[in-house]
Amino acid sequence: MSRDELARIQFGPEPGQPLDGMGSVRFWASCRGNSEEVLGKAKEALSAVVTNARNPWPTDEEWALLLPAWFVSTCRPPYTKEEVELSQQASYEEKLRRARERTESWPMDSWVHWFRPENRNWFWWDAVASSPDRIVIAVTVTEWPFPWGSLDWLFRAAGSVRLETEE
Amino acid sequence: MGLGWHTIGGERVWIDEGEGPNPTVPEPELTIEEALAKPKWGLSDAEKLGLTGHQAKALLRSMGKPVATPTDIWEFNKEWEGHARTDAEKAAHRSILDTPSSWQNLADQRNIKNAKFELFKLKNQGANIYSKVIGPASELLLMSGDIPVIAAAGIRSAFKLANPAGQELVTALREARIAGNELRRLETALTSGAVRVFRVEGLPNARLLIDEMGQVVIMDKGKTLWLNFGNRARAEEFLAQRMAQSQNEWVIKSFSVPQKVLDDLRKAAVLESEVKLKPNAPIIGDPTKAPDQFGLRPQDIENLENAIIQGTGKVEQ
Repeated sequence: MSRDELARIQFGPEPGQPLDGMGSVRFWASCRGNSEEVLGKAKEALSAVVTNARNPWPTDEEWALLLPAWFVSTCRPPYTKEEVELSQQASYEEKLRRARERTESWPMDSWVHWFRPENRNWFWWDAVASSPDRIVIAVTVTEWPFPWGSLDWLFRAAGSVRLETEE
Repeated sequence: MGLGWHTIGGERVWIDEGEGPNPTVPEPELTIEEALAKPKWGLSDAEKLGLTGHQAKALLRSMGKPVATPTDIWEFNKEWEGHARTDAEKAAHRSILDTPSSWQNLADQRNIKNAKFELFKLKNQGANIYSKVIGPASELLLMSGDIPVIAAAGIRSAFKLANPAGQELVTALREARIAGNELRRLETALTSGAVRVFRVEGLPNARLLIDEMGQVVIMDKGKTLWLNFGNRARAEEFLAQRMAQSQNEWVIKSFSVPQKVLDDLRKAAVLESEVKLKPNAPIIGDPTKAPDQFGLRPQDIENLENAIIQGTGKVEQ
């Protein structure tokens, strides 16, 4: 029997479970000797959002209570319209630089937005802390190219230094 | 554009029926910009760009220009009937005019390869034209990418040497009136201003329908469409991984759009973290691996489909 995403977050996939969508893509999360802790926190936050991503969609206030407190406090305040307008008007080079550096914190509401069913392009498959400094993560994807900023922020918020894709 | 001298993008081109340059005819000024700014285009204009009718229509739509109707084309050809000098030519024109649908079909399909084929057919018809035409013409037939180039002299030779048996070819070439310098310049403008768009697809995520003529249709336009602009290597890399992972059939689908499409997307794009407040803006996706990968929202998908240079679609494994 195939395990759904929530079960895979907790137990990993069934042995021999066929990959969904376009197959899997692997990521590496760099850690500072705390990979087990980072992985545990990432799974905790992801479980919370996957469990509650259903209609009616929770309000931002509800999400703040549904998600782990450590995650909510790591997120930045919601963007204002003016901030986003300003960002959109920046040069493309500047937008790319910010997007590539992946050093900025995300607002919580922006992060959960990517877990609305119509916005999902990656799904948790499996992960292992391969060393104190490294986690190997596999997700299945439904698109190519595909956006994975929400996965990146999940691991950075959990304490990872950087997330990189293997492909 | 009638017979005589034409200046297109600074290049002087003589368009005639075979008599060669006539410096006594005044030279009207016409730049590429003016040509592109013509209020109404026919298929002859499409030919100047080395495009099929479908490709030209897509280009024109992207420029917000009206596209010539079959009636326009018929009238255009009728106008040419007035230039026919011999009874045989006039009869051939009349015959073509009486069957506008087949004429249009020929006009839609013709390109340099067709022209070459027609020249070979002339040979088979026993005319001694082949040796006189195919030699000089073949020297002037240049292929550059998908866009054929033929020099004005080649057309003049064809005009001069073709007989009524090859009247359809003559008509096609006359109507096309492709001049080498003009076409090469326009080709440069087109190719330097076009961007190839890539997407890896299989059954689970098929969104692009591309037929054998390279016509592209986007399905399910209400859903964000993720595309890679200009980075074939990235698409090939991902395709190789999909092939290694699953038995499913994965392909790279690609097509060309004018550079302006990419410029507009870059201007309007937002970061993934900003999407909630800009739900209709294109999204910058996976920027660590390549620039110019975007998620397009419904309105941009419509605009993209209208801007696709139809006929350029490809499906590759």
